[in-house]
Amino acid sequence: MTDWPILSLLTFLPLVGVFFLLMIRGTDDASLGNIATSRSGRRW
Amino acid sequence: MVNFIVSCVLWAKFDFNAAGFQFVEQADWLGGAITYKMGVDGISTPFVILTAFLMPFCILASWRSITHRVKEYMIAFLVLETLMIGVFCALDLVLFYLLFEAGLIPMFLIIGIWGGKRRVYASFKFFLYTLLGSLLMLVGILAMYGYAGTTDIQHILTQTKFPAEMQTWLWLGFFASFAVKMPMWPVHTWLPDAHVEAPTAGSVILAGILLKMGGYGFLRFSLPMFPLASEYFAPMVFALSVVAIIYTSLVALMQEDIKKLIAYSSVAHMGFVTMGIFTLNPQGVQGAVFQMVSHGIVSGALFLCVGVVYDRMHTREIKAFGGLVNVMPWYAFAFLVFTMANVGLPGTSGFVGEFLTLMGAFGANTWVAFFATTGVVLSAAYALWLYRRVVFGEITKPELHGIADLNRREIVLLAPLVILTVLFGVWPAPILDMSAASVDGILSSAQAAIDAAGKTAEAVK
Repeated sequence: MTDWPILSLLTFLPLVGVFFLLMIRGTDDASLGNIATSRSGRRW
Repeated sequence: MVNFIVSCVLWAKFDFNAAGFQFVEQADWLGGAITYKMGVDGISTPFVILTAFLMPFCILASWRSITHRVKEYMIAFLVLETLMIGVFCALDLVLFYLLFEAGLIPMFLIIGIWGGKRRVYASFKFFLYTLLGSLLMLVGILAMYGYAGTTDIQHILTQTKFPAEMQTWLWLGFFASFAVKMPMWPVHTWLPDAHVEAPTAGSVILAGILLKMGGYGFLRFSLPMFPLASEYFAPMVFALSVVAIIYTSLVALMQEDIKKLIAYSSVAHMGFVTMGIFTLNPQGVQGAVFQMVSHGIVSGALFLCVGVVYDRMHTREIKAFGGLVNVMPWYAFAFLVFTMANVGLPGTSGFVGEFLTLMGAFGANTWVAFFATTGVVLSAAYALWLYRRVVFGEITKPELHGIADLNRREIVLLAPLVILTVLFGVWPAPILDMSAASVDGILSSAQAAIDAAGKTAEAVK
């Protein structure tokens, strides 16, 4: 029928989008707070 | 959007004449006993394509209305898409269960974080109802594994015949899960709350896809795996379906919130689906599949229409509107097409599904068909009454004078759905042809099992 795993591709392709979204820096207050915390090294 | 294109490739490569599973993929997982196995047939493929088709609309519908935690919102929807497509493709009971249950989490978050004022109550109610129902299915899956020694759906369908008494208990366990998911009366009460509190795109996915998982479950498990129990419980399902159709249509007539009215109409339309499935004849079952796809498009579109006016007026109260046709002619036209499809007007996709399920019901039980037909009349009453109060008449509310008609984004959003609603109304073949072979396969094997059980009972006498 087909050589490539079309159903797995269909199922998991949206997760590629999730991966890209996770790479984007958030602009809401909670994200900015997290960024500031990690930069100041307080989390460690 | 890329996913929808891939789903079109799936459609193009799909063999319409094959009754069995296609594009099967398998890999060992969880010690070999439980496998990662995927595959589709004529029943699951329409839902895979529908899921991939509706998702871009959800993203587009949220463009302006979601303003906080946008990234997380999009992530929730994409994860939900993965889980929903996975449910329709899964060919392993445990994989199916995991994906079926995991879908609750993103939807719980979508309602609970981006919903309305009573979002926390609605999200917990949605979560608890569906989770409790599904736990009984898990017990059933464990029993099936114990008896069959495998969780491979394809293997169980072809090789395993469960004893009649065991079928009864397994059927009830799966029914508890799918009846809540559909939802069937009297376990439908989570749906109106979830719809009212969910953001527009959440309602679209809820009505368009998540409810269909229940109907899909009946077709994938209850009918082919437990045919004797399905035949035994069919009168009960008919009774519940007819009550759902008539009772929720009457409740819809009393609603003051547009979304709640559409939510109750969804329960009534799902009543046609369950009725069609358990007629155990080709018209009824194919009608049920078609009705689910049609309802996915039409109810999704109706919720998008509600979102259009909610974004402008920030209310969904029916009495807050009136005379919209004077200022929003394009909106009035789109809303009219979807309302007519909801009513089941010939020439729209809603007609085909209702007609086929009623035809199937007539073949199974005339009284069921008779009472279900009254639901069609009631659906005309509530849908046309809603349309008259929202769209027709003179504008009496001063704030409605300045309301803008559909913008370009909203036209892009609604136009394809209008086209599909009419297209499937006059040319239902793409869906009916796709599901025909698989439906025939399920029904013939179920009928063979029922006949064999009948002969055994006679021989014992």
